Amino acid sequence: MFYTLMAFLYGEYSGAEIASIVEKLTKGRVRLGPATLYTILGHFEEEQILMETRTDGRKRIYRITDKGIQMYHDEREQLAQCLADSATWEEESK
Amino acid sequence: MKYCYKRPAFDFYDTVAMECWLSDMAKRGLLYTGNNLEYFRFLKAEPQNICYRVEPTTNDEMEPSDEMLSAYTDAGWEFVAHQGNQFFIWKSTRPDATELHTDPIVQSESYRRLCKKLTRSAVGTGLCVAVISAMILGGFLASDRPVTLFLTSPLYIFLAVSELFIVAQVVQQARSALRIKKMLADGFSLSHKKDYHKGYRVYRIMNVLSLLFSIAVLVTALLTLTTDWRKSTVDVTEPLPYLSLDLIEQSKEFDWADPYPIYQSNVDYNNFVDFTWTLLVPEHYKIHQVGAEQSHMWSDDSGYYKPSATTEYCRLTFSAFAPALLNELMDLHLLEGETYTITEPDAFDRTVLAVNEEYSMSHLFVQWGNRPQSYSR
Repeated sequence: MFYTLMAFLYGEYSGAEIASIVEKLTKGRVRLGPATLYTILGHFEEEQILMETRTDGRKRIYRITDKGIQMYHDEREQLAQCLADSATWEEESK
Repeated sequence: MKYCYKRPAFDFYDTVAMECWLSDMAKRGLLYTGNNLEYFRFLKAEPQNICYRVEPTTNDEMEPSDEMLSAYTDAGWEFVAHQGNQFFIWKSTRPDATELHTDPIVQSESYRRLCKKLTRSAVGTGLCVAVISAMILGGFLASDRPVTLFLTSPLYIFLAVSELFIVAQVVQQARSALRIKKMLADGFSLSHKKDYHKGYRVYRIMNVLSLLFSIAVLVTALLTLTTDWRKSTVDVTEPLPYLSLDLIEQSKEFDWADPYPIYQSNVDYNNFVDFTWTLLVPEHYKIHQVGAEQSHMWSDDSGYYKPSATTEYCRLTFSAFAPALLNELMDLHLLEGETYTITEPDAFDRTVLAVNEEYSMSHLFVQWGNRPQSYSR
């Protein structure tokens, strides 16, 4: 979910484009299965984290909302805190 | 193209079991193509290795969107069919197909939506069950013969058992979906491998019992329509479980009342026999007897003496119901506000003799094993 939010930060994309951005960004480490991707998009749209802006042929194009941006930053902060905790623990345990 | 229909011997909402079952069917040359009500339609073909995925739908649509179809196709999956608005079934023969779900937490979200739909449907089912239960209960409460109604109306039992089965099914479905949702939410991916033969013995037994029960009740209901009868007593050739009025009266003056046919029927409604049966009451006779008016008066001078008697005889499948039925017969025949002299002679399993002096009426109630009977004169 974090990667999906991240991918939407700087543009409007379709589901397929998001899958490709995430795969490229993580150098193939993270691959979004189609069902996972569409469940995330459905859930994000329902929660107004994303909104559909237009359609391009078969594709639906989404953009992130302010709520989504806030959610991304919250999530990022939590992850940073996790990494900081991990670093502290490793340092203290030496 | 040849098709065959099968019904899985496990709960529909156990999606992993469903995937394994569909794959096993494909290995046997039966390719799943869709559903007809609760039956799965299979195309007969060469045995194949096909991987199936049962995916809860994200909304109430019956078909995946074009965008979804395109994304799934790129990932190596082909849409097969939908099951109501709850599941899309996908298949793949490509070993390099991307797994549909790569994140169990996200997948749990689709099961959360499924559980929500199931909750809505459970509420609807619960309301229907409550309404039908109220109707059944109301029928029993309104009846002056609830025990007889229970024993002689297979429809009531059928409805009650069907309701129990429906409730059990809804609970089972909810349990299956919740179990998968919890597992995914805890971060465990689905293994997509399951021995669906195990763990569903009770479910299969329940299914078979329910089917047998439904068949038995429906067959009985149809049979009783054709085998119940009403005849004039003189036309009955088989031995009847009753005491004939002439033997009781022991009077030279006794004679039977003239035949009294109603609506051009052949039945003498003065002296006739009703016979009905059900699985719980294999024999149920009601025998009505009326004698001709005699020359002497009733003891209260209310008119000329005219003897009559009614016998009700039941043979029950389960003798446990006999005492309740006998009590019900007594409640039915002994009127409130009337005075009876009641004696219980030490005969049979239970014998009650109630005599109403005022109206010269006597009632004999006898229970002998699984045979409760009443005799009113």
